[in-house]
Order: sequence, then C-alpha cells, then structure tokens
Amino acid sequence: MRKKSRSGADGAREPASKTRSIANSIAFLVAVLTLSLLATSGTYALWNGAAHIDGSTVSTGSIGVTVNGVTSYSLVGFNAALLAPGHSVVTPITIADTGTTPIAVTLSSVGIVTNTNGLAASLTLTATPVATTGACVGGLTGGVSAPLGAFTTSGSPSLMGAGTSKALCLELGLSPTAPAIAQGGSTTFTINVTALQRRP
Amino acid sequence: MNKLLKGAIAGAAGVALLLGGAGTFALWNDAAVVSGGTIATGTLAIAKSGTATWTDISPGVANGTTFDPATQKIVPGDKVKLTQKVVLSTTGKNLKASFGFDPASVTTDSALASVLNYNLTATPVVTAGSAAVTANGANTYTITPGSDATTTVDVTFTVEFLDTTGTTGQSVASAADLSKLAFTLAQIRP
Repeated sequence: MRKKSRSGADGAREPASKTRSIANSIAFLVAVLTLSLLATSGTYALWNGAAHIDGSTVSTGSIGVTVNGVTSYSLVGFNAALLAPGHSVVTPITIADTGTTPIAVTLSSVGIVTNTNGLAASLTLTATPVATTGACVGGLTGGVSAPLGAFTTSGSPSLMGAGTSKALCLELGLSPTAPAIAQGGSTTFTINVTALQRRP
Repeated sequence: MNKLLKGAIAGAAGVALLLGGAGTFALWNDAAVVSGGTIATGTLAIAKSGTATWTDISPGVANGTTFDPATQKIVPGDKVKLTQKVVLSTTGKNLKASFGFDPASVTTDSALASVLNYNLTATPVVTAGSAAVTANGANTYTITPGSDATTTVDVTFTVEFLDTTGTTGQSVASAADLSKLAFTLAQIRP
C-alpha cells in the first residue's frame, strides 16, 4: 500500500515521514528552549539576613513665645499725652514660653513707626523683671534702660523654662532735657520679642 | 546435501551469530571508588538579643540620662541613642559579611529630611574567637568570622537633630519612625 504524501514547493510530493520528522524536531527545540527559560527564572544571590528592632517613634518638640497670651500685642497704658520732661508711664507685660524647650527671650529691634516733633529722640525705655504685674511701678531698678530707638535686652535675655511665664515692667520716660519743640509730639513704635532655643 | 539446503543453513547460522550478540560491544572501561569525605555548609544569621534601650546623649546632658520616645521630644541639637545587642552566626571557610541597617526600614517625616542624621555603630564583645568587626564606610561594617560560631555585637543607632532655623521641624509626632528598624547582615565575597 502506498503511503500518503504532501506536495512540495516544486510540486513534487514530499514523503509524510519527512514532514513528521521536521515537526518532531521543532517540538524538541521548543521543549529545550522552554526548559532553558524555566531554569533561569529564579534569582541567585549570596546569603543575607536581617534582625528587626522595634525602636519606637521619635517626635520633635516645639518653640513658642507669647506676650500677654498672644503673638502680637498692642501695649496699653503708654499714654504719652501724660508725659512731661522727667516723667514716665508704665505698663506690665507677661511673656510666656509656650513650647517644649527652654528659651532665652530678648526685646529688641525697636521700630519707630511714626514720630512727630522729634519726640522719639527724647524717649527712654526701661524693662525690669518683676514678680507680679502688680509690682510694676515707675522708678524700678535692676532692669535694662536705653533710648527708645536703640533699646535691646540682648545683653541680659530673660531665661525661661518650657511652660513658664515671666512678668516685665515696661517704663517709658521723657528726658528731663527734652526740647520744647517735642511737646505735642507723638511716636508709635514696635518692639520685637525674640525667643531663642536654649540648650541645657 | 543439495545446494539449496546448504545455503539455508549458512544463512541461518549467520543470522544466529548476529542474534547471539545481544550484549553491547565497547572499548574497555573500569571504575574506582574515591572516599572524598563529607562537605558541609557554613552559616550566616543575625538575631537580636534582649530589648533595646534609649539614652539621651545630647550635649550638656548628664551621662546615662535615659530617653523615653513615648513621652519626651527632641529639639535641635539633641542626640538620642538606641542600643541593642545582636548575635551574629558566622561560619564558613571563605565567609565574609557586611553589617549595616536598611535605610528603607526607617521612615523620616519630610519636614525633617534634611535635619535628622542617623548613625550606626557596631562593637563586638571580644573573645578569643570572636568575629572581627571593622568599619567600612558610613554606617557599614565588615564582619570576618573567627573560630567562634557566634559573636555578640553591641549595636547603637543614633538619631541627631541638627541645628536648623526658625521653627523647622517642630511638633512632628512621627519625626523618625524606627518601629521597623532592620539591622542587616549580607554575605560578601572575599
């Protein structure tokens, strides 16, 4: 019995066994390729290990300072209309450390906002620590005193602990030698209250 | 005997001879058994020993002051140190390893990324056969085994809050999350 065969490119009939042989070869090659790919699918590395430690979480503290409970305070009680040469007006303020770290507080960088009749040049500012705001009266000693425009307590800052507060008595005086032209003048100013973190 | 019968016998005999050679024919071969002994593999492992403790090593703070991360907070200039013992198991003729920490195991708040500094130290408890632990770059140590199968190492992990400006990084509850801190040991080739 003749075997069945297929037609080749030149129209001649190819034996069926040759076709089957080619197919078998292809199948074998595919199998080899697949095996090769599978063999390289894992990663090869050197030994390694790890120990896990529960080290907790570290948090940061804060720094904060207020004057009479706010971060921007308008002084009351400094009524320059009452000033005469050699006289002064007083007002207490309370500074608080509202952060978690000790601070050194400085009053400085006085800014003269408005000034008429050259009044500012005849004004002197004094800041004196007091035990209570009720103890703030004129003429106290032991504080820092300087002409208003150059006033700073950077030479003797107030040292404060976290959560504590301190009272300061501010006294604004008109120089006894203020020129007559200064009368009727007015001055507005700002004072910076700076808190610097303090290391133990 | 007629010729036809002779030819048949010869043919049959030839076939019988061919069929009789059922064994394979090859060149000579022989074998010898060699007793090569037994080859064993070494070890590389790391395990923590005991619990971690915290100390405040900030400038100006008394030696030995403890730090409680649950209730105390760091500020610029502070340095706090976590101490943990680990046991390294290291055996192997050509074994060498690199010890360090996995940076991905520490989560730093973005507000503090540039002002929190981490530092790792490793000090072995020295015995006659303990492994050598030598610094090899920042926060990395090379471990060279001795004759002891295990070596205890005192590891410290320090968190330093660098000086900064203004109020940078204040009031951050999760400034440095070390709850999944991982110390690593990885084999390196000699």
